[in-house]
Amino acid sequence: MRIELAAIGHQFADQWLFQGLSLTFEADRLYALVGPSGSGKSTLLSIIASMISPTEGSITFERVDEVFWVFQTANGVPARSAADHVALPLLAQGMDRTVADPIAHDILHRFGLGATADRPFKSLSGGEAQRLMLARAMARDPQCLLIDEPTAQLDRTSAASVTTTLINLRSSSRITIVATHDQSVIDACDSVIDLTPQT
Amino acid sequence: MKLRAIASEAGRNVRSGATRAVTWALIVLLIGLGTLLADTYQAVRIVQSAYAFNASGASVLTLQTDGTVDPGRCLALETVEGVESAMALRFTETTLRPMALPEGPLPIVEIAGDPVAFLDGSPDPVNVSGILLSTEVAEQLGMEGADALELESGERVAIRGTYPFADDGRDGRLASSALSVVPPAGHFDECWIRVWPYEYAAVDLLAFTADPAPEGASLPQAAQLNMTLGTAPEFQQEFSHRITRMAAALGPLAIALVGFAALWARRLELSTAMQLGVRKRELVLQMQLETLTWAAPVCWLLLAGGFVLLNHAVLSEDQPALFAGLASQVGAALICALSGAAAGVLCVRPTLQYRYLKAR
Repeated sequence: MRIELAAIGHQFADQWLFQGLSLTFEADRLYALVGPSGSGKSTLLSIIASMISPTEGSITFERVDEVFWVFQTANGVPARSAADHVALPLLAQGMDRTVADPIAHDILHRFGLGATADRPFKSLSGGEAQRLMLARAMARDPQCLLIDEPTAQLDRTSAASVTTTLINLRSSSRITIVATHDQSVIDACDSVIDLTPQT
Repeated sequence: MKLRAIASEAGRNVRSGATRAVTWALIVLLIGLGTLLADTYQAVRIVQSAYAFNASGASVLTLQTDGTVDPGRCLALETVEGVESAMALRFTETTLRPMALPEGPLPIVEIAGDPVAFLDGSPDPVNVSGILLSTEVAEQLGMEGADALELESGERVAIRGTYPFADDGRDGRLASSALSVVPPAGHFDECWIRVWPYEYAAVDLLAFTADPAPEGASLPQAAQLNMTLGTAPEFQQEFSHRITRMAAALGPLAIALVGFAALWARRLELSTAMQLGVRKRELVLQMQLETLTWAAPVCWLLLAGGFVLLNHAVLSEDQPALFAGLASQVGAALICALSGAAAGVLCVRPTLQYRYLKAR
């Protein structure tokens, strides 16, 4: 399972965000994507998620069928409960509600969100909401997980709990790439890819 | 996703408020009231005007002659399309002097035809023979329906029934007369026809009912029994060109846009669900169920409102057609809401999720 970027470059408004980027991402590793704002971290994630095409270069997916993106801003349904968010990907896999709900609760417990299971998304704190997004991604169990600035909008305590959660996401059947500025997250990763423009 | 899970997700979205069913229902209700029910109200108003016109006797066209009307030809006009009924009238010198009103003699007008059905505007024949009085005269004489009228001479005359003849601006000669139903033999003075739907051009038909006038006799005069509501109303044109008709046609389209907007407003949620593995066709079905929860009750309310409106208007003849028109428009509105919702889901692309998020 691997993703290979070959001489990727992307131009935005006549400016190259990055050029000649060749990278290989493999399973069971946490990758940190670092660089100042505007260096193209989110753009690179968009390219890996096939949401945009690179201006140049190619991308190859080897035994990776699905890429799941957890955004910097938690995008839940305000009125639905935390458990409902996690149960949805399970229902989408064909499970009955009676099977999906206990599994969803179990996943929430593993992410330290057991007490929030029945609370609506809009009542969760920033840290809880971000961890819920990760828990939902885990219920989907994607082969490639892209996480954009997971701690950017969180206080220190919440950020720490999210970082711990991220470490637990490492899996032999998953490639995990995190775009971040947070040193604690960077420290938790196995590889660091720096997109800081070379002057 | 299993069907039960789809229904369960739809139910939870509605109950939690994620569907915003009340908001969309109120918007659709306002559109429905402003277009569909407004059009029904306008149609009812026009039909009521037409009914009032007919009830006032304005749809009765008369031909007055010096005794040259052939009653057979007059009554035969009933077979002409658009002529609801006809009767021939012969004014006599004979009068009835009721004991109760000796100073108010009632001139006898001989009628060939069915005067009660004609003057009542009833499509069903009544076929009363004998002497008839107007309802007002019968009330003045203290009579109720068929009864015997005591005359000043001491005789008693059997009254077979009454006929309506309101004092509403119509030619009032029959208001204080006694009608005597006679066979259509000899010549009569006048031929009256009730034309419905009203068309003044039908007055030309009356010319065929009169024989040539003798030398020196006055020429036949055609007239309308009641001219206070005008001589040329254009109910049909007013009905088919009513301004609200266009609004009623646009109503379902506006509701389709609401259906679309209700789902497009949730494009981030929908694209996320697609990314989480929910198939588009499953989401279409789920959103149809959710749309039904707010669109169907509103459609039911509009139908109920229309039913009450039409019942209140008491338009027995045209009520089924008007209700059928409203029902088809409401049905179209429901289909449009569902179609708009389906289009809303189909337009969402999971690959644009990031863009949807940024646009939030």
